[in-house]
Amino acid sequence: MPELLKSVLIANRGEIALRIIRACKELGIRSILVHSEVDADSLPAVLADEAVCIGPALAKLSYRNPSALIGAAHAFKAEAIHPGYGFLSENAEFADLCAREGIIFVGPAGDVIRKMGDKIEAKKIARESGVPTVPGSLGAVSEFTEALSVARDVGFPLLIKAAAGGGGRGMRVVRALDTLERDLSEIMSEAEVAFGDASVYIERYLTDIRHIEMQVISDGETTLHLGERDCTAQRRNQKLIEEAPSPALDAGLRQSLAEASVALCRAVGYRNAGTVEFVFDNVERKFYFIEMNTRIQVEHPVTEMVTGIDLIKLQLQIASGIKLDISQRDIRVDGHAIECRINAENPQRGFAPSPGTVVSFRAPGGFGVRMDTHITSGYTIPPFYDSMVGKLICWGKDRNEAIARMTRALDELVVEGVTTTAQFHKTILGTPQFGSGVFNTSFVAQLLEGSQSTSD
Amino acid sequence: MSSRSVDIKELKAIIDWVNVTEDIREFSLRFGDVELYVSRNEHASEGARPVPASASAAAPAAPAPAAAPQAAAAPPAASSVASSVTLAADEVVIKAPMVGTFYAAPKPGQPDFVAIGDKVSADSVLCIVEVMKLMNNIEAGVEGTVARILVSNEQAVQYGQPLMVIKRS
Repeated sequence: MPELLKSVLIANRGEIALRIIRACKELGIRSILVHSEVDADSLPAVLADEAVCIGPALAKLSYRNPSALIGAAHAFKAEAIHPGYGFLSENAEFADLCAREGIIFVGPAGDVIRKMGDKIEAKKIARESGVPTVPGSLGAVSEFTEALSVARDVGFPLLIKAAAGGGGRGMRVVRALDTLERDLSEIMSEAEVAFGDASVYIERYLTDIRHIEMQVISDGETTLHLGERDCTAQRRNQKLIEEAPSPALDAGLRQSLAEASVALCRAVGYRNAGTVEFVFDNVERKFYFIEMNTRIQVEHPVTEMVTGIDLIKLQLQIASGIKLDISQRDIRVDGHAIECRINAENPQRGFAPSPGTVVSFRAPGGFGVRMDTHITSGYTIPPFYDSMVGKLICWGKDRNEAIARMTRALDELVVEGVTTTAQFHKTILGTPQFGSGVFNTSFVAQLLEGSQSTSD
Repeated sequence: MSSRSVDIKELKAIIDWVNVTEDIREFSLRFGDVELYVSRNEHASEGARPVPASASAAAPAAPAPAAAPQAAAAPPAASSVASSVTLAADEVVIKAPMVGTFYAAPKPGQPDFVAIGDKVSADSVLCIVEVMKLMNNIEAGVEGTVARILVSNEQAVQYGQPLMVIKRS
């Protein structure tokens, strides 16, 4: 049996760097944190076995700099690199480079990242594996007659998008068959004139949807699913609150979602922790594959809290070449977990980033409360990176208890000196709609519009 | 405007100028595909914080290959990497411009580039920092004598780690 890695270089910062350091320590793996100049005094740098400065503040010159990361791994003798999320975590060239340099990349092989990173290719693989995708064209269609026949099969309402368009230009929603031919020919000739390319994407236009994703883990032979997470509470496609299990799924749908996700992983020979993302149509109660994330995700603790499984440790074991020692039967989802992303942003000012110095910090505590954060009293949030300062995760025996516990924990949380989204989370959790579990991806936007009109 | 790329001498001159110009806290420059960012803030871009009372406390934690003599005798900022170096007024510290492995000699078995007491000129090679088998010659940047060598052969070095101290002539 292969031995566990002895040393891992952590190519990330903030709470996820700390999360990986903690897993390394519990497994007896030497943790080598690389950091930029501004992160030299950060909590991950203090708690890692070794901290190595690799460049200036700009991520391009430090956390996103492949040669600095590989150079540090060689010079400081790290067997593997854990990329965390963001930065180079889904960069196929970096995964290839690690392989060429004889360093283990904690993630799938470069070609798997490449396949899944290409939306059309991923959709094609999904269809071939029997995984439902949003009805529509596979890639761009340039012939009018072909576009018309695709559109007729898709169903209404549908969305036509100019392939060369962007930012809302060259887009049209078609509500019924009687205007389809006219709409399609107009948008294709407009696209020809505006962009010099008449090709369009055609897709079913879904509005009443939830975002549901399935956590998977595979050692390359055994692929397991660890239940879904519901990330419907979003603002401008940014997840705010995630929970598990989803209040919208029944046992049958959950099983089909799990089977679809496992089938997709098997089709590409997936190896690592991963997340298969779906949209769930509330109207027809059907799910469609959108993309797969080939990294550990921000919201992974939600799954950890309901399954009791440490996903980072499994990633490290798989990267060591050790086979999974659990089977699907061992995975049981117990109770309910919710995560609130605490961002240094001001909800009163359109969620503008609010960097600065945390004068005073107090983490909430008690039964079922977990706070993953790198901030401490006196910590200065640098303006160079993202605004997330921590994640508050609460477990309860059921959804109601989890909501009550999260509300209580948010009350206990103190982050003085910078503005955070903590109180905004309390507002969301306190709405009857969130409490009912019946909402869609527009829910937060509607809540914000409502509060604006009442305060005017 | 010329599209030629900036050379290392020009970059060094710019960094030296930023280091001696006390009223510049942060500096960024884009020239073709070269991007340069220099900050003398303890925590960069932290404009709201009051300037430290003593001028020496604002010593540059700048990623400069050679710190300006004005920074002399100043303790490095809390966030500066590796061991702190105390400098006399006429001394300059040579820092690693990248993370990698330090080599004192051009090849194993050959004599070291420099020893303590050696006279060097601005373009004298002091050592190599190797990253991904790329050998980066580290030049003195100033004229003087080698006063201290702070790392040993084949040692792993961090970005910005002090490697040598040169006494200016």
